Amino acid sequence: MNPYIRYVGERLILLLATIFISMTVVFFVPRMVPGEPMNAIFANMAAVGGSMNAQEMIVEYRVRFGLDRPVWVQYVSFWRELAQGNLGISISNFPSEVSGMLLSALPWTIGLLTVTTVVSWVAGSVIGAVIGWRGRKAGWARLMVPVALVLYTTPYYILALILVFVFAFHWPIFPLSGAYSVGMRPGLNTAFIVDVLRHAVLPALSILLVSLGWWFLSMRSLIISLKGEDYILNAEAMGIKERRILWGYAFRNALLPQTTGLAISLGHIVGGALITEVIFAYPGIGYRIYNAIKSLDYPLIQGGVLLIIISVALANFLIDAAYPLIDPRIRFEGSGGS
Amino acid sequence: MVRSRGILLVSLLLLVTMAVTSACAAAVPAGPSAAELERAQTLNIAVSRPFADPTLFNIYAPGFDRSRTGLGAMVHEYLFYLNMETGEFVPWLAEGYEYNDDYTEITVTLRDGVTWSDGEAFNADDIVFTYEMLRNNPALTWANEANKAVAAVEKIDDLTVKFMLTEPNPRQHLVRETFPAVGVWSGITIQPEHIWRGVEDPVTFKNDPPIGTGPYRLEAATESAFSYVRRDDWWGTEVFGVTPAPVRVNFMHVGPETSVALALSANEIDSPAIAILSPGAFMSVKERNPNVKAWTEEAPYAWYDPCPRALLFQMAKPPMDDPLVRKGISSLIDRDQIVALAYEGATVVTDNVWPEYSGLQPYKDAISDIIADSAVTFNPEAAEQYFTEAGYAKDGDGFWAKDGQRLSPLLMTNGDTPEAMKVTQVIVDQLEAGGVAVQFQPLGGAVVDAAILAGEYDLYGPQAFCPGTIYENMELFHGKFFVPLGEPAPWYERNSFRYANPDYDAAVDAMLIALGENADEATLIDIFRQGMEVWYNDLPVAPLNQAPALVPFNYTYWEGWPSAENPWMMPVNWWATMNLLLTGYESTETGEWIPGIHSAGQ
Amino acid sequence: MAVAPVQDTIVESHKGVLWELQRNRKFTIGGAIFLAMLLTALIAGMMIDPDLRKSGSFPQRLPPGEGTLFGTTSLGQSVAIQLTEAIPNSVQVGLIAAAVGTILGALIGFVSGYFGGKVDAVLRILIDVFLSVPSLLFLILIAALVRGVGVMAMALIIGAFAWPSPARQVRAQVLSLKERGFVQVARLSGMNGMEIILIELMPHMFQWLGANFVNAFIAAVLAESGLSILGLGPSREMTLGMMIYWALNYSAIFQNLWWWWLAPVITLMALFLSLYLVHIGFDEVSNPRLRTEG
Repeated sequence: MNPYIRYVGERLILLLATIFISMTVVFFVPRMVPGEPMNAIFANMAAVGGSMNAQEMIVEYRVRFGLDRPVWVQYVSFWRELAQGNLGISISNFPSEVSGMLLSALPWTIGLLTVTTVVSWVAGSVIGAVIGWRGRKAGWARLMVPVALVLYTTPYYILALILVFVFAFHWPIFPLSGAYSVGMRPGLNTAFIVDVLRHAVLPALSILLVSLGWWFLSMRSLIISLKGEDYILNAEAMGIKERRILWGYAFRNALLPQTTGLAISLGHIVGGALITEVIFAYPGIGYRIYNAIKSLDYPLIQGGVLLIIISVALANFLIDAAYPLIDPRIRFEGSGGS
Repeated sequence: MVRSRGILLVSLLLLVTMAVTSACAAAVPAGPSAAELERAQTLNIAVSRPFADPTLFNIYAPGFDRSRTGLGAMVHEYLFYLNMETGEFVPWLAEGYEYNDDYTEITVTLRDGVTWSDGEAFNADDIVFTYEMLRNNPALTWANEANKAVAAVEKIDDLTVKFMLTEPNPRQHLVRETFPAVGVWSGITIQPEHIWRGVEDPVTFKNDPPIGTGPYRLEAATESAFSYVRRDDWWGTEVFGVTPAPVRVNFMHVGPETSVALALSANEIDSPAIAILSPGAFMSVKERNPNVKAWTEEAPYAWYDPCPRALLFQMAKPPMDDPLVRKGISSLIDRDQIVALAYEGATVVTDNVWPEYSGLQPYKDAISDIIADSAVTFNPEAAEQYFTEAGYAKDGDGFWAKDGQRLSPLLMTNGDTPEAMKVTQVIVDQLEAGGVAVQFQPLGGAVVDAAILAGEYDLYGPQAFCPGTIYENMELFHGKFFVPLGEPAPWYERNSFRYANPDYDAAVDAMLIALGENADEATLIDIFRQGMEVWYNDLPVAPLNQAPALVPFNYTYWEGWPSAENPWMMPVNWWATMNLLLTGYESTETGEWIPGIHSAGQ
Repeated sequence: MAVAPVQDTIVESHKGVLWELQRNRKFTIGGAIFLAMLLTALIAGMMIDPDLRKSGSFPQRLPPGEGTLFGTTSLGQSVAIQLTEAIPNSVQVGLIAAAVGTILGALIGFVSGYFGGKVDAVLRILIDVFLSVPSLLFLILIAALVRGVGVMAMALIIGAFAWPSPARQVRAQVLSLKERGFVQVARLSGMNGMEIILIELMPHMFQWLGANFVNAFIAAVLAESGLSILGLGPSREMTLGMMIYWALNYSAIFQNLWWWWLAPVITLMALFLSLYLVHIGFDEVSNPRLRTEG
């Protein structure tokens, strides 16, 4: 069998194992938390003043959700229903289905994260490579280093709040919150798309600027360390043009660890986006899962985490599959570091 | 070298282009006059959370968000509305009610001419059907309560129904969980029989589109907003001759507190729901936008929520089973400091568990001497006496201890509520300063519910005591709600603190009987005093402060909001009574029509 | 948070490392800033009357200068005094979490890389699983479960999720070292597994681990502040994240109480900056080729 195919096959198995193990953890951990998830339903009702003494209702709803069965039985039936594409019904938002609730939120999160991640990674790497390569010769552009440092150490949410304050309030260029204006109908027309873009700028910027700082710094650091490598010195001695050395040799070699860094940080980026979603009232998955965790809404937690893990694991898988194409040396040794 | 610089420039250009494109998109005007006109006819209410499921419009589904979506106010209506500001019980879908002699039946006459939004007539069949549905589907919200109180509903004719109660209750018409009348939040909502009769499982029914009798219909629903548009064929226009002023009403989620504050300052919203803006943020909004006003012009700005706050003591286990310890702790709490720090001065302290409504003043006056002698004010010297009398002495570090054990109560609170977190921060500091080594545990979500109902706390606060009427708040402490520790109590304020004193219960029972006999106020006050003598001696909870219902209104586009100068209605946009804010109502005292809000400048 | 690229290096003389480090400007400047902040906070904290920490000790919402160094909060506390408690606590979280994560990760990475085979296969899957999973979600879940914990517990919980990154890096490094002959030679000369790990491989990992530690530290402090702002932070101990939480709870940005939220944010930035300098200094010492660059 073609070694590359076998390599990809290995990574595929890893993908499936990841999903399986994570889902098992996500299944059991919330159930170990002391608390009655049914209370989420009744808290809703009681908050508007009703349903005292709802013991009978708790019992009835437990049956409806299958929570009266032993945990192992629930576990098995969870996988069985998953195979049929049924993510169950949300407890705290009964009778809404989990799949409906998540799928409507998913595009916003994916859209926001994909765009910001790709743009910040590409831009940061390119700018970082240039500044790193030119070293002292970069002159005023070296100011970017402290700027990047400041940016990357700022917590997402602080930057988000500052952006809201400055660009949505003081100078009302961008909208305060939301994914699109109230009253707009989602559809593939220019007006809607423009509206969505306008609403996405601030949330995207808050994530993008922070990530940009990081990718910039890491690529610059890589390039600097590579500059002294033998093959670089050799190439210079051979009289190869500087920009060719940068892009053809140094950048290509730095790309691998930079890509590794991207894969490693995907899980983290999702976490940061959660808080951003909260501040901008962006209707993504993060906020939904956060509320689900608080109310111990098992099906919603499971569904939400499943979607995120699939996305991240899939992204990792694609990056891993691309490794050998970037660096032939890595080809068949499995997951590489640098 | 050139190419490196080139690539650098290209990348920067990319970023700049993105920014510029977005800015250009932002600068495209949407036709200022058209947008302005629409805004002036729209009412925007900000709510605290996004809408989890914008496809569910079934008010009886347990997961349905009854208050934030506005469905109960805009689309549905009720037989009667209680205006707690003026005390009027306003007939709406009904014209009147009458009890029989022993208070086991209520006969209600319905109004003629009421129609559903699809044209069908609203009549007794709908009411009979709704209660049937509740009886057959105990999983629906409030089915439990309704079925316990109402045995059956009988149709006398198209415009008359008779409610048969399971036991005599002269106040049944005020119990919104069992009777279709509302004062606060919402209640039993009558559904159209011709739509719901064919529904297989009402618990999972989506009810799309929701049919109601109200003046608005649901135009669109997303995670961020529920949008309503005014109906031309509302029955009230013909019968009453009025039309609510706003053409559109949006219940929208704009984000956390800061975003709401910004939106309010920028006139993007007209009013936020309760508990979103903190007093400090409100004052900043006022500085930026003088058109934003709350109930009063001066501090404390807030309208008083009917549910005062108190600190609960867990009386079923030591150390809070000792009244001396309870009084000691209550005396260590500096309520003025709580108001200043946690509420930023936006409310007042309280020494009882009833709201500051003028109608209740005679009752409070009658017990003022009892209160003066009780441990409900900040008095550190008295606290020392109480603890010493209870057998405690200060140990080497200055903390109260007995038999080698420190007094170390567990204070739980709801960590998700900013108000609770702020108040408990202050209380913990005060208790520690007074020598009580309190352990603090904030919990959240489903976990806190389970713990509180099971009574796993020593102290819990701040707890709201609703609904705020004399009898109902007294009843919360009744021993009939006592359950052993570990079993879930009926609710937080309904005796999760396990108070059981037969003398007190006797007073409460006597009060119910007296109300049923329509006793005069003097008798009621007398009974009240008897109960309160026992209550203050036991001190089952430590009253803290009135709850600030800070609801700012933006007068830029809409005027006529209720305020301290013009208290014609409760200033609430999160209860089902909100529709009266828009339509107005006929005063039961004067017969005049009290108008709802109108466009600014008219 | 991606791991900073750690260089492939050989440190020849151990004695020389420490000497080199203290000669390196970036390392010393970074270290000095960090220690200065920490020590100032610790010493000042010890000298302050503990009663002054309570809410209501100062007039509310004072800007800096009117009697207090950094102003006061809406709860009537001094921002400066809060910092003396917050800095050591946040540093504690970072240190413990980073230590737990790095040591645990290094161990797992070593074992996986060195022993190879089935052990490696299993551990590798575990590492990748935990890397893919957004740890913040699980942190939220666990923090919601054990709510009301102190700084130590938070540090341990965060540390428990910090190991995959160093593990992956260490494993890769061990794999590459294995190829380079150290291990072969050591085996030939009769050393057993444990000895090889400790005596031959460890010293080369020293600087790797150092870099990983710094990264883990930063990530841990950010995780703590993320959890705190969601309201899941330590309930009675002040950390930089909790200071931000309270500031946001009282709408400090909107109310123009800039000193309240700016103080912890700038402190965080200063902490990270100083640590980053230390990290770079470490790198430069280990890899002499980096030294001449800016």
